[in-house]
Amino acid sequence: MTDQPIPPDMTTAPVLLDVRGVTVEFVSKGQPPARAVECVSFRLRKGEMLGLVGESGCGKTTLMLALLRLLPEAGRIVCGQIDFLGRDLLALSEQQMAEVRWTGISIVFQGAMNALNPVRTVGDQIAEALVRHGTLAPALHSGASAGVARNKKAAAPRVGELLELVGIGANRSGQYPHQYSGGMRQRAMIAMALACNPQVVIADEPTTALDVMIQAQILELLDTLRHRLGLSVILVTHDLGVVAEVCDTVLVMYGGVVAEYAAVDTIFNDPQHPYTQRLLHAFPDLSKPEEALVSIPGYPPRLDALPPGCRFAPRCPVAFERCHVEPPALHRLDGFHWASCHLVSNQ
Amino acid sequence: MTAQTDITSLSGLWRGFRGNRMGVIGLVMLLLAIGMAVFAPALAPYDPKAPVKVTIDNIYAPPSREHLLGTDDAAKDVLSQFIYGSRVSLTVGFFAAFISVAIGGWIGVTAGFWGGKVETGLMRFTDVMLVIPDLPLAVVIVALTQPSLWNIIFVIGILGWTGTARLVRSQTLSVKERKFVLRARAIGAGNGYIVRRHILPLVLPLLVVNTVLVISLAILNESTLSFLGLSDPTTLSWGQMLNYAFTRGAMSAGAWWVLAPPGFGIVWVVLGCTLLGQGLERVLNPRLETHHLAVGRQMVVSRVKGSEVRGSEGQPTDTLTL
Repeated sequence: MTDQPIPPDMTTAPVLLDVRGVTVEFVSKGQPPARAVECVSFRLRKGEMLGLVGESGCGKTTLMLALLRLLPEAGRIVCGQIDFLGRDLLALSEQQMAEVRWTGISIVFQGAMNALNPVRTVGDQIAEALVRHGTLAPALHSGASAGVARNKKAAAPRVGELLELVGIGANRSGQYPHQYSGGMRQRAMIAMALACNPQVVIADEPTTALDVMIQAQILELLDTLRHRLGLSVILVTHDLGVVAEVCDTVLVMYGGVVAEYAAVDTIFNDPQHPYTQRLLHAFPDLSKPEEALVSIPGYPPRLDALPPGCRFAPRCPVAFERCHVEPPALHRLDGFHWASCHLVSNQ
Repeated sequence: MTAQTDITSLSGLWRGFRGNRMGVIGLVMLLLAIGMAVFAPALAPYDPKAPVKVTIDNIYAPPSREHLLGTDDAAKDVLSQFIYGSRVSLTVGFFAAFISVAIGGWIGVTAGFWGGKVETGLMRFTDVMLVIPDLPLAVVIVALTQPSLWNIIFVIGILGWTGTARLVRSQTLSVKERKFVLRARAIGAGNGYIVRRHILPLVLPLLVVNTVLVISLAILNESTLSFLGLSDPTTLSWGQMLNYAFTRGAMSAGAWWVLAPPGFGIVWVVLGCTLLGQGLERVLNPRLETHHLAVGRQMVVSRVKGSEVRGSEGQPTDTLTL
C-alpha cells in the first residue's frame, strides 16, 4: 500500500511512552462533562519525532497536559493508561509524578512569552529545574561527572551550557525575558526543557507567534537536538508543512479522537481518513502549483454537543448513513497505519 | 515613551522614579518629616516634658523669639511639641501600616492562590471587616483596652487591611493563571515555592505602593483617635495636640499657633505619602501613564540641533509632523 511506511528504526527502537485509550473530561457544575479527548492511543519510541496535528480545540494540548498530569482542576483523566518506561503514570503518587516531570518527560509550553516570569532572569528560571530536582545532569559529550545542584550558584555552569546548546551565549543568562527576542525566548524554553536530560520532550506549538525564518531555526534546533541527545519529541502543531519536514510519525486528531495515525510518508502519500485528505488539500503543495486550496466547510464539533456518530460526519463530504449514528472504531490498516473511518473498515 | 524602565533593580527603579516630579516631592516631604522625628532632641528648642512655671503671661503666648510658634495652655513651647509629636505619628503610621499590609497581603495571596473554600471564607471575612465602620470599632476597642501606643498601632493595623487584601487577591488571581506558574508546577515546584518565587515578585510592586498609601491612612486614623481623646496621655502626638487645643480653649483664645502646626504636620505627611505612593505606582505600573500605542510627545522625533528637515518644496520646515 505504501512505499516506505515506517522508518527502519521505528519498529525496533524501544518504546518509551505507551499511551492507551486515554480519555479526558472537563467537568463543570450543572453541566454534562465535556469530552475533550476520547480514547487516544499512540506509542512513542526512542528517538522518534511524533507530529500531533489537528485544528485548534481538538484536544492536542489537553492530551499533552494529561500525559504530564498537569490538567487544570476541572479536567480529569477518566480512563486509559499511560506507560512511561513500563510505569503507569496514572498510578503514580503526586510525589513520584513530580519526579517524572522534567527528568523523564518535559514540556516546552505554548507561547514562550508567557511561560517565562518577566521579573526574574532567564538563567535563574532555568536553574530552577536543576535545583528542584537536585541533580546536575552530566554535561553533554564533555564527560564531566554528575554533580548535585544544591543552589543556583552551583547550577550556573550547567545553565550556561544549556543556553549554549540552544545557541544563546552563556553570558546572557543574567538577562530578563524582555531583553530577549521572541526566538530567543523560545530557545530558552527549549533549554529549560532539556535541563534535567529528559527522554521525552513535548513541544507544544513551539513556533506559534514566530516568523517563518525563526520558525525554521527553532525546528532545525529541535531536530538537531533530537539527533544529538537521542530525544523522543512530540511536536504539537497545526502546520502540516512542519510535520512533513521533521516528523517520523503523525497523529491526526479531530474533535478529541484519533482520526489517523501513521508514518509521515503514509499520511502524506496515502491518507485514508477523509479529514486527513481534506486537511492536506487545504495546504499548499509546491510540487503541484496549479491546484487550488480547498477549505473544509463548517466548524469543529462543540465538545458539549458531540454528534452521535463519527465526529467528522457533519463536515464529511463522503459521509453515509452509518457515519451519523455509529462512531467508527480505530481500524488498523496494515503494519503501521490506523484510521477511524467506516469507509476504511468497508475496504 | 522612553525605553522600558527596568524596574527589576533598585537603580533602575530609582532612574524611573527620578523622572516623576510629584513622586520625588512626596519622597522629600516624607524624608523631611522622618528626619524631624529622628533628630527631634537636636531640633527642638525645649524639652516638651520639662516642667514649666506657668504665669498669666506665658499661657497661649503668641509666637515670639523665644517661642517661635508660641506656647500652649500649659505655657509649653508649641514648636518643640510639634517636633516631638512627629515621632508618635510616624511610628504609629509605619507600624500600623506594616501590620495592615502583612495581614492584607497574606489573606490576599492565600485567598487568590488557593481559591475554593479557603477563598470564599477569607473573602467573606474581608467583606464583613470592610462593612464594619472602622472608627466606631476602633474607638470601642481602644476604650476597652488600655489606650497605649501599641494598642493604637494594633487597632489601626487590624482594621486597615481590607483594601490591601482585595487588591492583592485580584493581582494573585491574574498572576496564578499565567503560563510560568504551570511551568513551575511542571518542573516540580510546590505551592510555597510558586507563591514565594513566582507570585510574590509580581504582587510586590502593588504591595509597596499600597504600603505607602496605607501609612498615610494610618497616620490619619491615629490623629483621629487621638483627637477623640483615645490616645496614651503620656505620649505626645499631633492628634493629641489638636485634642488639647480643642478641649482647652485654644480656639476661643484665638491661639491659632497651637492648632495650625499639628494640622499642617498631618497634611504634610499624608500628602507626602500620597505623592510618593502615586509616583511609585507610575513607575511600577507604566500602563497607568500612557497607552503603549499612544502618540505622545515623547514619540515624536526631536529635531537634532543644527540640522534642518526639508519640507516637500525644499523649504526648511520647523516641525516634523506625524
